[in-house]
Amino acid sequence: MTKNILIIQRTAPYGSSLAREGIDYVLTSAAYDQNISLLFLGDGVFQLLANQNSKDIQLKNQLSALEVLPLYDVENLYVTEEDLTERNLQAENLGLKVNVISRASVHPLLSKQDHVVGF
Amino acid sequence: MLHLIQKSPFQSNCLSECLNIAGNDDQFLLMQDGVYAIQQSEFINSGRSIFALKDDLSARGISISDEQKNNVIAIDYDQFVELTLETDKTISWF
Repeated sequence: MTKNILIIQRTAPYGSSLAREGIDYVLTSAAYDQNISLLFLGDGVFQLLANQNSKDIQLKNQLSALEVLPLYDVENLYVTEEDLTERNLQAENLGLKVNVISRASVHPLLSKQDHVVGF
Repeated sequence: MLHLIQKSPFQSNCLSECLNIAGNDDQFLLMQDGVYAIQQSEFINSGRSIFALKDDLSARGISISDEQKNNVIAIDYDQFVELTLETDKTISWF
């Protein structure tokens, strides 16, 4: 049975394994034909920064992992304008095309889901 | 919507990030180190619907003062389960 599941990514990519685990969850769920959306909240937006090169810290590139999501039909990616602004970022600094929404639009987005899972 | 706040607001931004996007009618359950939010009066007096897990409160020596009794309700695990059944959605913040 297909459900609408939104994953909230709240952490920066390399300081902990949470960001990676979130992506593993997304890929697994997508493989089971679930309708997945991703919301990058707070420091989670740092996962989307262009020009990540994590080779020298011996970790897998988070942006590369996110780039494969369209192959799994995961195409609804969201960030909030406020989180970008607080971090002196603009959509152009991100390595992926995402929907920039306002904080006020997040609650309605959550309300539409069957499940919301945080990482 | 029920938000499970699991980290102290003095160390983590769980609570502030949750409040950034929470709706006015949402409920908040303080659990684990989230119960330290009891010490943050701005949140406790915000008029929101706030619960806290009894066992996590007493383990940490945190109590709900008489003035706070109207703002925070201490609940046990059975009531926690009931809350999750009554709400359409539960979101963990950790």
